[in-house]
Amino acid sequence: MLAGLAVYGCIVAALLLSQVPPLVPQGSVAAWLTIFLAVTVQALPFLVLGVLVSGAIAAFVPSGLLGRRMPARPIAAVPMAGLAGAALPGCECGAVPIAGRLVAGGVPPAAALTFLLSAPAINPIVLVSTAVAFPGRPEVVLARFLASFATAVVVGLVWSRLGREEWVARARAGATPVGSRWAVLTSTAAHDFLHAGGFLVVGAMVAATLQVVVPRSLLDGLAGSGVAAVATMAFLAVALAICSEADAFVAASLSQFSLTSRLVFLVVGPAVDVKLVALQAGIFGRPFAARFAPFTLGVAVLSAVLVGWWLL
Amino acid sequence: MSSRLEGALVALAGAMLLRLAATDLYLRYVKSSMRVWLLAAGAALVVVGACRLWSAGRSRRAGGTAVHRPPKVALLLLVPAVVAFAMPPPSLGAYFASRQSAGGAPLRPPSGALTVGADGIAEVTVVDFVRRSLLAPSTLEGVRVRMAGFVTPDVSGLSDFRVTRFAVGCCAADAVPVYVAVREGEGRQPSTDEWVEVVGRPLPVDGREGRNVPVLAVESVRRIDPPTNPYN
Repeated sequence: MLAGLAVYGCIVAALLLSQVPPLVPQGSVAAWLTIFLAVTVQALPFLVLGVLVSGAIAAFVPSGLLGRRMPARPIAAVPMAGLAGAALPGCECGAVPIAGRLVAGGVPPAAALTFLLSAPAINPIVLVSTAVAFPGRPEVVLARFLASFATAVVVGLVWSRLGREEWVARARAGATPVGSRWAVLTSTAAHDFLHAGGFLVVGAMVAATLQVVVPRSLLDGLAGSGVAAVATMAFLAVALAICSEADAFVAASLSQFSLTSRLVFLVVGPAVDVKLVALQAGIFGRPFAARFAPFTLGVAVLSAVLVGWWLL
Repeated sequence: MSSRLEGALVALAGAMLLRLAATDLYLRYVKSSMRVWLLAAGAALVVVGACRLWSAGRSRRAGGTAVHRPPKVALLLLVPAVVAFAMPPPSLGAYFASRQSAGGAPLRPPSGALTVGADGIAEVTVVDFVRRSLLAPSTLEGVRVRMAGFVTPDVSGLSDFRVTRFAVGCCAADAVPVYVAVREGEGRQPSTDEWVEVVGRPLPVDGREGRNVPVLAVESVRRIDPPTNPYN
């Protein structure tokens, strides 16, 4: 009841305030608000696409069908799910509710998680933007594809061995509501959107804070090559929370860092960043996010370093 | 959290996207190509939210209760909505530029020759000018150029100030500042964060200004209103 009053109060206040000359924030506060709103607004359409697909799966795909259609053995199902990810063009935010819905619909978590990691990293839009950002360097595109695909498959296979059902309990419990197809679609979409949306806002707040508090110019001292550069770029990928469609341009601009460390940035970013971990906590639950994020980060860094050492 | 509240939150998030995309405000945060997606996503959220509000009204009368309430953290969706409606922040400026690495711009080769206008001056963007200075300096030889950007202080102390734009790949979170140093100006210096239009002649790239920072011998500086599309 109180929360309801607060919401309507905010709506009324926002409508009233939009009629008066807007407040103009300055300096660091303005930069924080701009970055915060930019990350949120950029991510929301992709999240909406994700929750609508999730709602459509709940409404139109019979429960359990997807699980039965998948190969039973992880060694076959996981790479298949990884390649299926290439068919979903978009940023990482849309993949989270879809993967959650796949788990709710009976798909083995290992396959759904592989899809979650591969969809934002190896789809055509991301690979093309990487090629555009690194003109004349097709080996960067190939290295990104290989390292990201390897990360998704390795995480999926390890999860199929060591993952526990209770870690994805929240996503499994995402019971399909009853009613007409339209009612199922809208209530599933609203449910997924609210589970993920609040966490997206948390992630955007953290990303904005890190961008404003930790100046990128401070990181120039850590540039170069070797372990410090790799660690710095992995940290940047997690902290900046840049869309996978745009991260190649940022990586291209950070030319003071070695190419391998920039590959780490490109492989870690779509797999683990602050807004993504927050979204995963919202859809899959905190016990899941607390295990999945650090493990994925480790695999992604290792995979990128190995592929970079081989190809770049 | 009641079903009504859920519906209201979803619809409010949609209204925020519609408000930003219906005006030019969204250009302060994301690229112009995002507009159609913002409108589509905003409309979808409003429809889904309205459906929830409507069915909440019906199920209340029928005495039904929905299961699986969203977490309280969903209330944070109010924050971007209030910020967007009540105090939309300005595009990034000198403060954020000062926090970034100096002059690391994503540079793609320039396309074709400059087109010189009837007044003998070629219109360029700051990004295109920097690109040409570094990758195709011959296309700038003997040309007078006009460009617009906001003012940042010249950190090298060699020039009067810098005309600055952010190159944005996807949204303002990946903005990278691009600078042109301005020299030999007369009259009052424009103040930091003011938008200006400068006319001048390119000088040879001076490495002491910093990597990727070309120099302009300025003829005139005119204050202008911030452009609707502040990036690139």
